[in-house]
Amino acid sequence: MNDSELIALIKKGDTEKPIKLLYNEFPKIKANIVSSGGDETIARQIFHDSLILLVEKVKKRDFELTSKITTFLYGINRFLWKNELRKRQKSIELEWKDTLIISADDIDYSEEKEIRIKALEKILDQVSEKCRAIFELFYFKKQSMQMIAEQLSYNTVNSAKTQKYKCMEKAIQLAEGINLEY
Amino acid sequence: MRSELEILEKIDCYLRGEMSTVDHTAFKQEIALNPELKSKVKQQEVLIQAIERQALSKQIKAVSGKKGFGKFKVGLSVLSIAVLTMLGLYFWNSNQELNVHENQATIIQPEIEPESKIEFSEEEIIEEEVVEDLVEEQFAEEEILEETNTIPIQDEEHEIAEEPLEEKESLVIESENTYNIEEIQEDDSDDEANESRIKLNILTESNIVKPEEPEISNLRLNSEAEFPGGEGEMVKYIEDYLISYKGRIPKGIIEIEFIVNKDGSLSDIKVIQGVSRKINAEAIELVKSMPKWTPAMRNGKPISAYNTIPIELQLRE
Repeated sequence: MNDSELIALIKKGDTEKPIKLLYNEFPKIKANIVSSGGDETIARQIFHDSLILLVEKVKKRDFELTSKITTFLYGINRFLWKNELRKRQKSIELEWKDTLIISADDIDYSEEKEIRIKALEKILDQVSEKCRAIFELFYFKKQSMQMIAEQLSYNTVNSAKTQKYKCMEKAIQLAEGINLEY
Repeated sequence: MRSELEILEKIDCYLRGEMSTVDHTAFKQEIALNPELKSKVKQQEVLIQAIERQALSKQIKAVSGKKGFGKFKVGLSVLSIAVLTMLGLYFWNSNQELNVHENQATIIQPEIEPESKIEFSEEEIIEEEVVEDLVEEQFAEEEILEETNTIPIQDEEHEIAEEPLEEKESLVIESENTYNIEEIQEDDSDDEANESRIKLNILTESNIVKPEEPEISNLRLNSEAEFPGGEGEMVKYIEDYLISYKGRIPKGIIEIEFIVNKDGSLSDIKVIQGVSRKINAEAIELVKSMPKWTPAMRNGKPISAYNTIPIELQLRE
């Protein structure tokens, strides 16, 4: 699979294969992170985050690849690891091979947004199993409500739709509760 | 649908770009004028992002689980503190997922094995899958299985480390470096401490540099350092050690690195991935207590080489 095929798949929402391929880069990235003070756990965490950011970025309508996709992936990892090192109050010069120098803007990264999304992910754990299933099928797997209604045995497409928005309402309510605590 | 839900639907259509151009423009204007609506849109946008991210995260984790720790896995199981079951060697291929959650301690083998180790052919992979099922069954009966140890060594062509640094543990320092070590040892043989320090530095250096060189695994007459009696014995040894350890064992992966010297003695034992201070110290004691190893061979000569043992620990209170 070449880079443009890989990107086309991601854009379509078919991320499994691309992730499998990109995962082959993990050992090298891990080695880079470990050689500058990290360990396996943080390397894996950063790598996972980098895949998420990459997929989110690629899915954007205006995304244009200016290098090899793996180079872009290295760049994101390097950026995230630098960020982590800064949090640990360490400044280490990172000399990675074949990488892009990436800024927060390049990947629309903001600490605040990250924290907020992480909090919301926790909230999503609190909604019912059925709600999560609808969400995942509709927003992630990009299935039609028709298919979802059949799959989750709703009588009509409309009742599935209503259920979806009820779930969303519930999640937003839960999220508001959290926000008040801040 | 209630009006509250209808707003959610409208926002959803807007965010997904499913509105007609006219509606889209109108809604955009409405958002600009209505801060409350604006914050609702923002909220929903982030929520959807969180939904997608959670699902993606799940997918990534599934992939990472399959990519796992390597082709081989030496599994040891402890059903309870008293009962112990040996799982034996597991063949690990990237499409297989191995369930070892109930294991108390698992020794993970490096992903790419040097030529002296066992390599399986395609047919044997299938056999292995069957064996795995068998292992699981017998595991329930608390029987000891060791058949995987008897699988014949295959002289298959080797995949060279595509991910060289990952294979740090299976590395052997080339003879050129060994020669350097010998030289220095001769020069400084009057100073024991100094010698071992120098030796260590050299080994460390070659350990970093060497993974780039694929010809390592093409050499013959070479073998990796081995616990006396092989991996199976090492597994048993570690298992016994952990059983007799009375303290709490946390969940986690611990990796111990050490040098197997030419005479089979072990030195420079250190924890490269730790769990807790107590367990780390215990792991070092564990390696210290080991009998002499069979040293690694290069061109038929014993050499000093780094070795790593990763152990997957399962919680034991």
